[in-house]
Amino acid sequence: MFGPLFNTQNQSQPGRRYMAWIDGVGAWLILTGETVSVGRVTGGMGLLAKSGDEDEADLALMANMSRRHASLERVEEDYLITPHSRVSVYGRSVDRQTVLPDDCEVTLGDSVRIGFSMPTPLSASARLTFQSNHRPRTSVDGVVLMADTCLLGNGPENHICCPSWSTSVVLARTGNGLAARSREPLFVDGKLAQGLAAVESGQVITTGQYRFRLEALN
Amino acid sequence: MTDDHSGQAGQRPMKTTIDLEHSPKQGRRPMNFRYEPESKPLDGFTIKRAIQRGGFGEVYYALSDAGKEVALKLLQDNMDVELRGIAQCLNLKHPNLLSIFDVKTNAAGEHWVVMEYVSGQALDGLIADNPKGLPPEQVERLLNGIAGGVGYLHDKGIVHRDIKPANIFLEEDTIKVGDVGLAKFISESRRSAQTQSVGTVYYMAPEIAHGRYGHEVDVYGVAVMLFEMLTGNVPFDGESTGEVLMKQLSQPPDLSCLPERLKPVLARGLEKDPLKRTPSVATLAKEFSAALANVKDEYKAFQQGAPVAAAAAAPYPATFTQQQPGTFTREQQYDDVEFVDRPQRPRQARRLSSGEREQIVRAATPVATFLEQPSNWLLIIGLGFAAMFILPALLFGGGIPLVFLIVLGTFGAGAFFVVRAIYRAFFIDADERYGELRDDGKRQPRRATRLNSFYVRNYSPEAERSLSVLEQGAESTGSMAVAALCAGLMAVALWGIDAPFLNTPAKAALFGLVATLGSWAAILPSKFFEGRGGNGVSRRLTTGVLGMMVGAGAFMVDDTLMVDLLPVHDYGQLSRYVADHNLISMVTTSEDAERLVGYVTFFGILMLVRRWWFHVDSYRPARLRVMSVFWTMAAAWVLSLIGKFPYDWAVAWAGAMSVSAQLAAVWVSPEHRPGEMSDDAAATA
Repeated sequence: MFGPLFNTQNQSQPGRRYMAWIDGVGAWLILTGETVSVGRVTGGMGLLAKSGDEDEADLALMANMSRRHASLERVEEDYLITPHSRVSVYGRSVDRQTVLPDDCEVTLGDSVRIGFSMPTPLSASARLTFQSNHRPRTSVDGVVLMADTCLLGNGPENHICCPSWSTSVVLARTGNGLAARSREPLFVDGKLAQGLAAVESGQVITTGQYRFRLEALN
Repeated sequence: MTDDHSGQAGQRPMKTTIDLEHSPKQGRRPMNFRYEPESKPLDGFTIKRAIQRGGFGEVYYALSDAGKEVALKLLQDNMDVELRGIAQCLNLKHPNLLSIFDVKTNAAGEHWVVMEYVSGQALDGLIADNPKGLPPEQVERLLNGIAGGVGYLHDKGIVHRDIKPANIFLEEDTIKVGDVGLAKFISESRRSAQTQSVGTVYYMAPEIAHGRYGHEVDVYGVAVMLFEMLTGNVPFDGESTGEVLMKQLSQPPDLSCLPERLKPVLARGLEKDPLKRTPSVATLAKEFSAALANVKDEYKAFQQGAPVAAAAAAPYPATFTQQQPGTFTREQQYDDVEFVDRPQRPRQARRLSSGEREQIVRAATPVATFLEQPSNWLLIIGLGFAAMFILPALLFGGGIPLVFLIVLGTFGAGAFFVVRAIYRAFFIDADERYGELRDDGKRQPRRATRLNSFYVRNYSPEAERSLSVLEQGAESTGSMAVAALCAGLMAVALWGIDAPFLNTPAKAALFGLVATLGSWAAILPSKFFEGRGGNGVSRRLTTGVLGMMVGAGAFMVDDTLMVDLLPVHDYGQLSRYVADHNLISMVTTSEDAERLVGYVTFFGILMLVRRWWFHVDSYRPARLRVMSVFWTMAAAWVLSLIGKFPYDWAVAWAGAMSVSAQLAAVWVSPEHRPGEMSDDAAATA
């Protein structure tokens, strides 16, 4: 856990999935994999964390679509979408691997519409938003495809927009987990953290009166 | 219970955060919550995160052990009021009401309300996202949903009493009225029993000041929300709770920014006297829909070419004048009323007619004004001519032949059109801005639907369509300027790369000028043929005749520049006839006559055998088709063999003419054609 920070070279590791439960803001899914699959939910019902078959897509939606409908791959600063079933970008059908332009709408199957954007040039992370009300089993407000950092704060340049916040928090990838940092004093599970603080699954991060909890899935 | 967007309350103008029990200065609600994530204050539910702190308690998002999402509301203050209200509403069922599953008390004695969780936005967030108001169809849909839920409550004898956008939830397409916790049983005898003021001042009916809580207060609250949805602002705003309350009590609402037909609906809904107010929310919704339909009819009539004077006299468009310049938001959105079949798509600016555009350009800059006056063009061209006469006379002691000057003058005119085109390009913004407000609907956006093979098949050059003479004139003059530029550039390029046949500046000039004339001969007639249905023969004959004129022009330029391109060749009787009868003053020798005939036949036949009108039609398959350039060059090569015309010149000229004509002629890309065709259909209807 206290290994070298910002060790983003370690890409052989499969991506991890986190849920950020943010008070007053919502629930955001953070996917750290270089490649993220999108598809229909499979298997039993239940908690997002517990359910689904082994091979369920990284982003599994309650929607009339293929179990593995498309995959998104991050290549340096770009995101490529590979359609495995019917996919269109800006209403135009896509039949091969295609670079996603910033601020575009991706349609999967007949009705699933997902917004794709890269809110800040400072980070290669991208944000997916649900335009058509097709969501995972439980309500998720958005997805961050996290490259090295994920910004939480008030304003459109943040990956997770927290309108009521007056401060901001940066989540960064470390060797095998996530770490958090803020300009304001930042507490992890009530303990004051210095600099970039490693965050483990289940820990509660608090700055000022803003609070969120990070939960690793799978 | 509210959703995630309620967090935006802190950012909005304070109106949604002011409750009477809170100070108006309080911008942000405290975000400290009693329960941590993952805590289980109630058996069977795990809190995942806090949603909001409302005036009546904290709201959490929780999952049941089986995975059911619920909103848990922890009651703190006003517990009795809340509990009493909730008890009445526990078993109400309506698609437009937020369900309450249960009320529970835990071991610590805390009261919890287990409610349906709604993942969508609350109406306050939606209004904040649309500060200029929502599109009218959406307002209508929202109002009907709200009226459904609130009307159901009234029917069951319950007054909501806390109608405000933060209590209206949107999930997918369902509108749900929430927070019926304050609801109060209507009892005729207890109408004024409640002494404690509740609710949010912006949505609070004036009679609440006297402690009256009939269902009219909900009608008032819904009317305030209707006003806010339409305009983005509440009808009564102020610096303090007291100021807002004073206005609610005494000031009539300012409805001037609303369309005329909607004013009476809102005026009645916002009536101070509950007895004069719209009797029910259902009536309010009905009246609004009816007025909206009227607005639609009025607007439809306006769009279908009702006399302009009548339209201007109609009160509805007159509201333009009552706003700040540049804020045409309301009307702009009402434009959408007409296009109910595609409500989500923002309306695009229609194309202005050239007259309108000219007015705008003229209004824009003095230079543009100068350029837009025809008499001023003549001035420019005249000055150019004079300069061309005077300068050579001064420099070389002699004039330049008139033909050359005409050609140069035409180039000058072309240059003028290029300059003007650039000017107009700068005012494309004006076009779009003004296009929106001058929406008389006669033309739909040129932009259109998707490309498919049907369109490609049906929007070919043969397709009949109407273009005004003005449009044709504008398009052809613009194209001619571009063609001249293209041909000139090609001549310069060929000369620049040392093409063996183009070894002197005079030859390059001859090449460029004649290629220009040739491409003009293709563009000019084709523009006037365009859209008139096909008869290829007359079109070819026309271009053929023009081709002969190009040939004559080529001869004159050749003679003037003394290139003497064509080898002397006996064309027989014809050339002798030309020479003997002195048909053209420049033909002085029999060699001249033979050259003239050579040029005229070559260009005449070249313009006859190829389908030039098709190549430059705006509905041609592609802007530049290499195959048609190739076939034109091949035809020229064959002609050069027959007519003893130098083959390199023949092929190069044919290529240059074809390329510059195609590049210069207006081309409408296939996906824009359906839109343009429907314009025409509308214009002719």
